[in-house]
Amino acid sequence: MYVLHRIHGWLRPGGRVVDIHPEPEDARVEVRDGTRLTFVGPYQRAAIYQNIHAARDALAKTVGAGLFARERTVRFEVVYHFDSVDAWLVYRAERGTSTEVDPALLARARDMLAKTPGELLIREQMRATRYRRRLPP
Amino acid sequence: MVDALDPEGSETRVLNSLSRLRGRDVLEIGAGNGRLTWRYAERVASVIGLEPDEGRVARAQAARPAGLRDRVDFRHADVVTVDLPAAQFDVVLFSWSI
Repeated sequence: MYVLHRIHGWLRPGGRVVDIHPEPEDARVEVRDGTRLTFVGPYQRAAIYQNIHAARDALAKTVGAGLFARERTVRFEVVYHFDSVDAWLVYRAERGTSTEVDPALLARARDMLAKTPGELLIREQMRATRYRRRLPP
Repeated sequence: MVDALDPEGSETRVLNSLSRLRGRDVLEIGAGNGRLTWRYAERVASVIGLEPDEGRVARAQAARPAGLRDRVDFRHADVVTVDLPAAQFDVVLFSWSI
């Protein structure tokens, strides 16, 4: 709530907040070989789901308090593309990703990629919401 | 610059559908290495990207195209403590930083 109050102060009258974050649900890990998609398994990140729910609650409170009005929400999908499991792990390390990946999932993905020239896909469901700044009540 | 995340541009399309960024002053919270910033920066009046990781700020600054240096600034800062003037921005963007 404190951060959202600060943001309210930094915005001009009528300004907007756009919040984009993952849905609190498992991503899908797939291997694509040409047009063929093979499901490897779910990428489970239970550790962050609670944070997402808490942040949504905080945003809802700012709406309830009259600081922002929710205008529109869009659900969509983004896809990560990697040519190997190691490339995915390097990407995660560079982004400081704190969640763990199931070693069995990584092993299955490595095994599939060893048998095909395909690429590794991570499909993540996202939510984007626009809020309008309101005058404080 | 192609990132492993969303080369299809789905996130950018959604961002464009939700906000009119052209000519706006934007504050991006959790800008990271500028992955999303570069996808909209050419259209805005200015961007300040806040990022708590110093290494990612350095990478973002180093990747700034010459044509955008006068309107895109990345700051090593935490949104809880950063000092910014009141009523300076038209849009605040939280991207994966909630």
